[in-house]
This record gives sequence, C-alpha cells and structure tokens, in this order.
Amino acid sequence: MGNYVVRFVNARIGYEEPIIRDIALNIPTSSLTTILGPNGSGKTTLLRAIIKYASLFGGYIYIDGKNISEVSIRDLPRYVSYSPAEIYSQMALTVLDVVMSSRNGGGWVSKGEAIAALKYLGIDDIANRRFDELSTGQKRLVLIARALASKAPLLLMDEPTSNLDLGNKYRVIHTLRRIVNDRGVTVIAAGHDIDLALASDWVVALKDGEVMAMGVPEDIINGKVLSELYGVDVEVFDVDGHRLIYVRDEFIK
Amino acid sequence: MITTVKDFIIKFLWIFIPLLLIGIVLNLIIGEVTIPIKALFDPTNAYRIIMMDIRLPEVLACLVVGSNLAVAGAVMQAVFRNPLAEPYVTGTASGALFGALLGLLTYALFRASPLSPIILMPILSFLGALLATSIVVIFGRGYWLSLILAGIAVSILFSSIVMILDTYLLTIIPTLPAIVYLLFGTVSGVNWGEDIVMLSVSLPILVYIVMSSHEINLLMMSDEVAQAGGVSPRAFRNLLIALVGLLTAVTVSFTGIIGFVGLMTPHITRLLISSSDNSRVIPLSVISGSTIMLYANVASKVLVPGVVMPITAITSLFGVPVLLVLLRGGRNG
Repeated sequence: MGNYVVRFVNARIGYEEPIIRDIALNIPTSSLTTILGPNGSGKTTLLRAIIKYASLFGGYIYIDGKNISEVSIRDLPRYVSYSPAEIYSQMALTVLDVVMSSRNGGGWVSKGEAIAALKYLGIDDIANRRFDELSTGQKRLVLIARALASKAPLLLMDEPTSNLDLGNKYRVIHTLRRIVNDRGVTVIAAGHDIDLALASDWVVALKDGEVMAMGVPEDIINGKVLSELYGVDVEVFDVDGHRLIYVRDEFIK
Repeated sequence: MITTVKDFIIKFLWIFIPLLLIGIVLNLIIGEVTIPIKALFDPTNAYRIIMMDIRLPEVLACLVVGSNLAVAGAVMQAVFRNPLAEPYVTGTASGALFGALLGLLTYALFRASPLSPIILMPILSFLGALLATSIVVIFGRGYWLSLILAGIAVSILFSSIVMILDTYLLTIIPTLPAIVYLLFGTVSGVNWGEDIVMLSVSLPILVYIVMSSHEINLLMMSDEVAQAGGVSPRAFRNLLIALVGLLTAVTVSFTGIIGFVGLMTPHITRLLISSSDNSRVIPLSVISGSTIMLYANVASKVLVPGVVMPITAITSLFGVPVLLVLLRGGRNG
C-alpha cells in the first residue's frame, strides 16, 4: 500500500457531462478525510467516482496505486466499501443480514466476522434486531460495522452524521476516528458536518466541482474558507482549543 | 430466548412441506372424476390415464407456475425496491400474453412457419413481456406508486389489445379454440410437452436467481452498495428484468395470467420467516408459491362443482387484500 490510498489526477467526473473538473487530490492512507461543500458541489459524485459509479471523462483515478479504469467492478470490494446515508430497508432485514451482505474480498462476510465487527463497535446486542426498526444513530453504526467487516482498506461514507442528534453524532464521529486509529483503514466521508471535519485528519472543501481548499482542519475550518465555501458570513472562534462556528446573519438572534 | 430467523425457517418448512404434499395429493384426486386415495397406489387403467395424462401434468404445472411467479415477484420487489411489484401489477404478464397471442396469430396466418406454437408463443411472449416492462420502467420512474400506476395502465392497454386480437382471431379462424381464457389463467389442459418446455426454460433461471440472491440483496439496498459490492447495478438489473420476463412469458404462454401469486407469496414468506434476506426468501418462495398454486387450482375446481373457475379469480380473492394492506401500510413490506 502506498502513501496515498486514493489519487485523483486531473480527473473530470460526472454523469452525462462532467460535474467535477480537473480535480487533483491525494488522500493519505490510514486517515480520516472529510469532503465539505454546499449542496450540489459534487461531494457524492466524488465518492461515486471511486467506485466507478460516476463516469471519468478525463484524467486518472488511482486506488491503492492502481488505475481504476483497470479495476473491474467485480474486483472493487477488494479495495473499497461504500456506505450510503440510507439504504432501502423497508423490508425486514436483520442487523446481521445487513452486515453479512458485505463482500469480504472475493466471498461474503461470515456470521462470525459480522458479529466480531458488531462487537468491536459495541452493538452486538442488536445483531438480531430488524434494521428498519433501529434509530438513525444505530443504523449508521451498523453501516460502519458492515464496512468494517468487509476488511476493505478504504471506506467511503456518504453523510455519516446527517440527521443525527448531538449524542449520536459524536458517537459516529468517535467510531470513525477509532477505526482509523486502531484498524489503520482510510475513511473518506462526504457531508456538511463541521464537527466531523474538525475531527478529521484532512478536509477537502469542494465548491462548484472544484477543490477550493484542502488541508488539515485548522487550515480549512476558518472564517475565510467557510464564508467563501457556503456564501454566508462565518466566523470561527477558538475557545480553549475548541472551535466555535458563528454565522453572522441579521435573522439569527 | 431469542427466536432467530433459523427457527422461523424450520417452522416455515414444518408448515409448508406437509401442505405441499397434501396439495399434490388433493390435486391428483380432485377433478371432474374423483379418484379414491386408495387408487393412487393401485390405479385402474382409467384412473392411471387420468392421473398420468391430466392430473400429473397439472400438478407439475402448478409447481412450475407457482415457483416462477413467486420468484418473479420476489426479484421484482427487490429490483424496483417496491413491495408492490410483481409481473401482474407491473404489466409484464399482460405484455407476455399479448406476445403469446401474437405468436398464435402468426402461426394461424402463416401455417408454413417452421416454429410450432409451443415454441413461437413463448418467444413472442418474452418480447411482449420485455416491451411492457420497458414501458413501465420508463414511465413509472420517480414516486414509488408511479411504477404501479404505469403497470395498471400498461396492463389495461395490453388486455384491450388481447381482447381485440382474440376476437379477430376467432373471426378469421372460427375453428380455433377461444384463448381469451388465458386472460383468466388456468392450468387445466396443460400437457407434458408444455410442462417440459416450461420446466426446461424455468429451472436454469430459478437456479441462477437462487444462486445470485446475495447479489440481489445488494441491489435491493442501493445502486452504489451493489457497485461497491462488485455487482454492476444497471447490467444486473437489466439481466434480472429479462429473466423475470422469461419466467413470466413461459408461464403466461401456457397457463395465462395468474395474478397476485407473485405479490403475496414473497410477503407471506417474509412474514413467516421474519426476514427479507433474499437468500432465504427466494428459495422458500419456491415452496410457498408452489403450495399456493396447488391449493388455488383445487379451489378453482371445487368452488362450483363441475365448473373450473379461473385461477386468477381465486388468487385475486386472497391477493387483493394483501395489496390493500400493503398500500395502507405505505411502503412497509
């Protein structure tokens, strides 16, 4: 495994036409990277490009040193696992079913591996519960367990902390941090969560299909970058080593 | 003690295996002529002929049709992520019937055709099924109920064409037996030759689908999950739609439209085993679908003595309430 698990080299990505233009981006191995950006900036498209679900119109994407154009869809599970914000779960799938629906390289995750992943996250007590009856917070943890059980070196998470209450949000952030630190996996999360970005190793600010800024959270989570990224007047205060976000708006009292 | 899915599956098998066996026996003995149970093991010549030439082909047809429709329903519900999807509701069956009838018309008009109706009908039926499903997929995108509404529209359209074609066929060839009965569905009169065609098309497809059930689970969750799981969602979805089209076509060509078996069977199976895992639901639906068809066929014969009722009337009696309950529950399966 090289120093970078994912590299975008002048990549143009989109569906019928490119949405992301000439992006150059290196995601370091064993890191937690958050992609921030307003709605429609191309965050999800960037994740989809790594699993070849969005089209590559030009340039290159390397995953684990390999050009993804040369990686077949069948071989993708060896490199990557993808967790969407929601899965269609109206029908009765147990938590174990969801975790065991993950590929483990060539085969499928066994019951033992699924339970081990759930145990690692401290949620093995809900193994036989129905997934659709869980709280959103529990669902997100189950999806993280599913990704973990796949033993893929790269985990892609689309909006892992959206629609979560404060407690559950920090539980998910803590879990993502833990699996990166303990297991050495690489997590790339796309979303709007500044707290997740602050807990990350790297933050990519994406705007209108271009990388506006990339760096460590201290360099990105500041008033200048966030104001430009979201088009509102943002101030960031440092209080006892914690960053507080303040949006200046005459309607916010 | 926690009741696991495995416990539910064991209970399911305890219920359905005896029901299936009893269903087979009932189908063998009940009909225009009632065969005494004793005679099943030591039949007279007349009974043997009835059993071998009429009842056993019907039993086999029930097993194949029940399996095909149940699996087609389970696959469609997963592929469209819609608990109401099945070949009847999505218009696939009506398209298949239109194709089958076109096959018969082609044969009637050009008798020199090298293909006999037994082959020509399923082939055109398959094309009709694909045509109907494609229209529904194109116009039924978006809101989950759109698929069902588009399916109803396409069903009505093809059923109307079938009625016109059938009337026309009878006008030009009065000796041709009325095949409008195919609109109502029946396994009566199915012969060994038709059984063999149905079985030889269906068996490889059913085996393939059962073996692909883990991949179907991925597709059911989301396209991106499927792709990252090594399954191309577009290609796999199209393949499954084509296979469901084939299962429907070969069923409709010989037994007509049998509604709601594809809808209710996977739901009953899911409910009984308390799981939507397709690696369990699909193979078990083969058993429950076959059983439901066996009893629907018996009911079609005994409801009014001496008259064989359309099977769709029987299956709809049970299927429509399931549909209504599902509609009331929104998308909850």
